[in-house]
Amino acid sequence: MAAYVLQRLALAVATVLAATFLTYVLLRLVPGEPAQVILTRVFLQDQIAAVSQQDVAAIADRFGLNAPLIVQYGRWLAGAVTGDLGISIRTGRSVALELGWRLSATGLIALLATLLALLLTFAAVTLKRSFPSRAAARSFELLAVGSIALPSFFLGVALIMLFALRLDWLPVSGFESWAHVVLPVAVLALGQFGFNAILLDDTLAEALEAPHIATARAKGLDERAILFGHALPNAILPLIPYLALQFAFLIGGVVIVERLFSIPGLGAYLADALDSHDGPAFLGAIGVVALAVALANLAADLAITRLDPRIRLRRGAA
Amino acid sequence: MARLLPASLAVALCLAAPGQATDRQPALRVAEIWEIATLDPTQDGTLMKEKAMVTETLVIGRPDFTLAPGLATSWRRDSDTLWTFTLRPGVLFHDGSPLTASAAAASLTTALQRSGAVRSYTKIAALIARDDQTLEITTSEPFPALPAALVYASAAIISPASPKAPDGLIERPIGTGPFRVTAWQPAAQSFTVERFDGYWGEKPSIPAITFRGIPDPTTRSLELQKGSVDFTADVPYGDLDMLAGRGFTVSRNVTARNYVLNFGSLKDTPFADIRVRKALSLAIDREEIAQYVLFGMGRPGIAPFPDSMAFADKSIAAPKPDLAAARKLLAQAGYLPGAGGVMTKDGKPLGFTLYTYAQRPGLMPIAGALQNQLRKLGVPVEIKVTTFAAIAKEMKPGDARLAALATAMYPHPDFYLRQVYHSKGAINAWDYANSKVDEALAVAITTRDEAERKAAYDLVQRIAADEEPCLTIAHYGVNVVMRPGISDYAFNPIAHDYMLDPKMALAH
Repeated sequence: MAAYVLQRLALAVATVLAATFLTYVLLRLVPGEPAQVILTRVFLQDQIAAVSQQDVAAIADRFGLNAPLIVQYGRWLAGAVTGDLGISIRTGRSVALELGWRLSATGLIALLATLLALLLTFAAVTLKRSFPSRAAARSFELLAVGSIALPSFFLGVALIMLFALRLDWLPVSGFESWAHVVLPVAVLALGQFGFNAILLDDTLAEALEAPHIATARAKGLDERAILFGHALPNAILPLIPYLALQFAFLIGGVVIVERLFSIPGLGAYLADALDSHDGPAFLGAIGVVALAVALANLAADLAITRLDPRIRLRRGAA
Repeated sequence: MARLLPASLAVALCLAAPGQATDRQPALRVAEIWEIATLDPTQDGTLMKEKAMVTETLVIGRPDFTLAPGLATSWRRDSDTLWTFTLRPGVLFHDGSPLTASAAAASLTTALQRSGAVRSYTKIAALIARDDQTLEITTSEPFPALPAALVYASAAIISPASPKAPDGLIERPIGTGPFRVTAWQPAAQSFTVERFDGYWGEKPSIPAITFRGIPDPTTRSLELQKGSVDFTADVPYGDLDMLAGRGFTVSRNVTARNYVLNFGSLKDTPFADIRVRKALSLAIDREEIAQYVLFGMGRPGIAPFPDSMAFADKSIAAPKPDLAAARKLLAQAGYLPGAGGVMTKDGKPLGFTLYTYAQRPGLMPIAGALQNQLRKLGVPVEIKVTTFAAIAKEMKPGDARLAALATAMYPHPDFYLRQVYHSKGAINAWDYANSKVDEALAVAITTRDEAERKAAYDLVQRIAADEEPCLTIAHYGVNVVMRPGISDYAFNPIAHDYMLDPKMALAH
């Protein structure tokens, strides 16, 4: 088991290294000399000003842009290992500090959204299975497809109109109290729940076909006991790696929701850093997202190994 | 994880304690239109000067773009490059220390070090504090626009005691303005300013203002509708009538920025021919764009400056769109309708890729409108949206760019006219060259005769509107929306985005 964990950990580290190095190279493929791009994008934008060679040279010097690419990446990596991710070009603040702020907001929202989506998934699937009927199946389908099809921007504005403006229960945007967290978490969870529900319903149907279920039915076991006691535990397993991916996606990819609700989160940070060619900030954020993906996958793998005795047996046999 | 959860929210909560007003009057709640990443006035001067009213500059700009005394009561040009500024007596920084010439010199030195824009705009070479009230400034070349350049927000004067980060970032500026920074939560992108009782001028009636960065225009509009924000700018153009209908005070204002279409090159492209440029310009319905594409958020115009600016040549009038005249000009230039009605010369169709970027809300809709209007002339336009920095690298000589260019980063005609219309102008990448323009700009920058200077700048503006080396489409508009009950607000078009007004008052 220890060897397995170590192996997966090594894989996680390799993932983060590969992601950050590729990002480093890709950042350099953006058209334009890096120092010039930084100067116009970060400091001048579409204001007009004479860009002097002296200013370009100063920027190149300040951010060490003259060294070979691999040396620059090496410097960044050496710093990153000690927790120094450099200085954001836009704000002049430590990237590690800013990422800490951003991650605490995004991490909280991603975690709550994943949990809520899971809760909604179980509620929908068990309701559908507990009361089998054409109407139940139809409304389940409608909910799931609606969840997948509705763009989060539209859903977000609709929820704000209803709960913040009409009913006046919740604030519109910001990140200052639990009340501020409700709507963004709801939008994300409602968006995630559809895929989860369809997946779980599918694997559940498969699990209900298994021979031991037929045996249970033959014994005269009550349908609820079969569903909760025998079918669901098996049906959940395929959902776990998917949930991990979903959580990782929420860490890195919720720009639209963060923007709409003015949450100072990681997605908006990534988008801004890319938009303004803030290399250190972008690279640091990519590193965090890659780490989140790697760790979430690791956690999922370990969870499955724990939960599924067959996997443990196979490993033991090998 | 369970322990992390409340902890992270607790961090967010205590970082984001809402600003408290000092007395019974509530604080004004402003939704700033960008993320608030830093309060450093050398990085984002407009936030601290124009919006938060924390810092002030030596010279200020009036709404008609003329100059007025700011922290300097008077100035004098002693020689081509030497200037003497007399500072206003009795001005205090927010930490109680007095404004002196040496403090002003130290502040400008920092700004010059930290901001390439301040260096290139002001051309300051040396600063000397003669005595407490007298500051001598030497420029690196004869530069009559120095007082105007000192209006630029990043050249604001702050106390040398302002707290700094190790790498020189100014964490919290100690200014001289009517408000002082009292709280700053970078993680929550919000800060609070309170009325400064030691202010030298008329004291504001608002006790405090809280700013929160809300970058999404739709969210700003929703916050206003909820009543959780009192003042903001740049809400979606389509929301303005609805907000006005609900009693909000909506103002549509023009700021110092132009929507400009420029070609990749005026050498060896169809656009070298002035008749082609004039034909394209005549096919563009600027009135329609301003009215229906920008929802009134912008003024149609062909001249470099709107006539609300003191230094605009007011004799320039935008021509009415005239497709027949445009076709005639194209025919004179050798272009006739070919396959599919596309204007063609020697088998080559007249068409181009129009590059633009998404950051400013008017650009993409205008690009779409231009595409439609030019199609009627038989000129197909393909639109490509990328980033501002990438356009310069991607576009070819026969392409065009639609941009929103700042026309007065400081209130002086030289800034825009020289960079756009001089043969060696910094953004004249399309190689427009007219010796009359170069000569007039040389006269304007060297003469000591104000009337001669004005005549020279007027001439450049008339040539610009006449030859249209780049096509001015409209003057940029910004909307300001306030909740009912805020009085005595006046928009100052010198603002780069929007400005607050220290005279504003809140009804109870």
